Amino acid sequence: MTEKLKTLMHEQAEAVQFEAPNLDAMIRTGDRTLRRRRSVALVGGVAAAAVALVAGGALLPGGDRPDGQGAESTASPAPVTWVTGSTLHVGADRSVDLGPAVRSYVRTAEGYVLADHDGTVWSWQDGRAREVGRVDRRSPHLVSDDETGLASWIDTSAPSPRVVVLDQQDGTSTDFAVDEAAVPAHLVTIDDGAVYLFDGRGLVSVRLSTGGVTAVTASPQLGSRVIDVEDGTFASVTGTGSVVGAEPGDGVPLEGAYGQVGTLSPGGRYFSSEGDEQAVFDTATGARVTLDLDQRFATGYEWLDESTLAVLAADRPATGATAQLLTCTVPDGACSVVEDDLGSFAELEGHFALPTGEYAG
Amino acid sequence: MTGRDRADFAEFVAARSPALQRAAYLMVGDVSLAQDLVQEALTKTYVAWPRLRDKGSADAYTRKAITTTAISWFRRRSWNGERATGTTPDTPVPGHADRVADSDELWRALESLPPRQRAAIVLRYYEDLSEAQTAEAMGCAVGTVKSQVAAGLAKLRDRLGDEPGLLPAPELVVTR
Repeated sequence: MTEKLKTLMHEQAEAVQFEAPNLDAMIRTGDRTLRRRRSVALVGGVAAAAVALVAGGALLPGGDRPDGQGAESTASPAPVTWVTGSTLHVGADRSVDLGPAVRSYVRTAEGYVLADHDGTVWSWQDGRAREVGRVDRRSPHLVSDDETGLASWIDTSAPSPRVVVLDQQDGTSTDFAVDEAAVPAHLVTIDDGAVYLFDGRGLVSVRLSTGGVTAVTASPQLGSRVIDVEDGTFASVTGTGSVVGAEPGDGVPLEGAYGQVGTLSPGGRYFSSEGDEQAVFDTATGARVTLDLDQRFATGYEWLDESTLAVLAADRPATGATAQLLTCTVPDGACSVVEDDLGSFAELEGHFALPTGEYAG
Repeated sequence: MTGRDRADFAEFVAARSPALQRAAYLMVGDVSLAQDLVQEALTKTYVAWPRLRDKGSADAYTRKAITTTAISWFRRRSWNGERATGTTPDTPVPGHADRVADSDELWRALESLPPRQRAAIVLRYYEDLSEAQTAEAMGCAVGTVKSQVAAGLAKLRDRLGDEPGLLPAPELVVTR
């Protein structure tokens, strides 16, 4: 049987003249992506090394050559980082003074973007902090795409709030208006060249190359439930728990995940739900991935690559026990300690930050 | 990437782009958006090229990138500025008006489908992929493909009627 459906689809498609794809642009962009991916593994090490050289070489990491070429590897996950005061720690044995005391910060493929206690936003690259904008100092929320140089925040200092997007690769920034008529605007993430923003229009994505705005969810209520987006995969919270799938508010249910905060791995294969107990899920099946952790409090807060999760943990934090930072790999669940004595949560309060773009309190 | 890799990739782009653009166009219904989709998907393929062992896997990789990105981009049909026009392209098919009218009506019916149903139907009945290949391209389970195709065809049938030969018969919507 000859189906008209098939015939007509062929006729429709063949009636259109397409421009040939731009091969040069593909190769240029692709090469840049490959270079960025390689630099992700180095971003902490090379940046710290650059400052260390300025400071006299005392902080040169072992194994890294001063020319920055020794440690280049596509296999290494990004380093675990944290900030106390104005000091950025890169792994257990490297640190650098960023300048401003940090209230929140994020990592990109090119460096770090941070907000200080006055609400000033700084771009930190190559050993220097450069003032790049303003954010609400009470809620200094930042987002980034750690595969590119993009970071974003909402500037509330102007009469009308605007989303600012900085590209650390070339130092340029763009901005656009938000719709705060009904609800306060909130940045969800940057993914695949688009900023995901929740505002009076619901959840919208703004494609940075064109400025084109797409309504991602039909209703503002549904938009408010989206937690994270990676490669077209949405993590959302519903009335019965968290779900991950190709549609906001729909997909594979993650049993035992209820929180409003969580993070998808770079390809969307895994989801870490932030809460008091570690909860990592394989998003294809919904199966929980068990991490080899003994601590009573543990939360995975940042994916260092597709299969490596940075975890903040503590045993009985309410009793003043010291906190640790670890890396755990999935799906095997093996964990190793990066920093075993951060101090107690009470000691860290007010001057501690992880690269989540949020004020840790 | 080596010069040889780049040459192989360029050959792949030249050979496969027209077919990929046509499939992308059927998925999103807009020429410039389809071109952007293919450009972006081929860039991803270029990045992955060294680990793609043959053209078959490169084709599948690119198709998956197009499909998942199309579903993501076109999740909601309320584009502002980038919205497809919804108009039917010129259809220089010789023949009578009924045929053109069929084509227009089918196009509008396809456009009315949710993105995942539309992608599943394009992959199954335009690309002639098996359910397993379609599932791979959509990044979902075979069961999801079955349900998306069945739902899509039911909607097309509701809109276009049960004219014999227009749509695959329900009994033919089976695993292969």
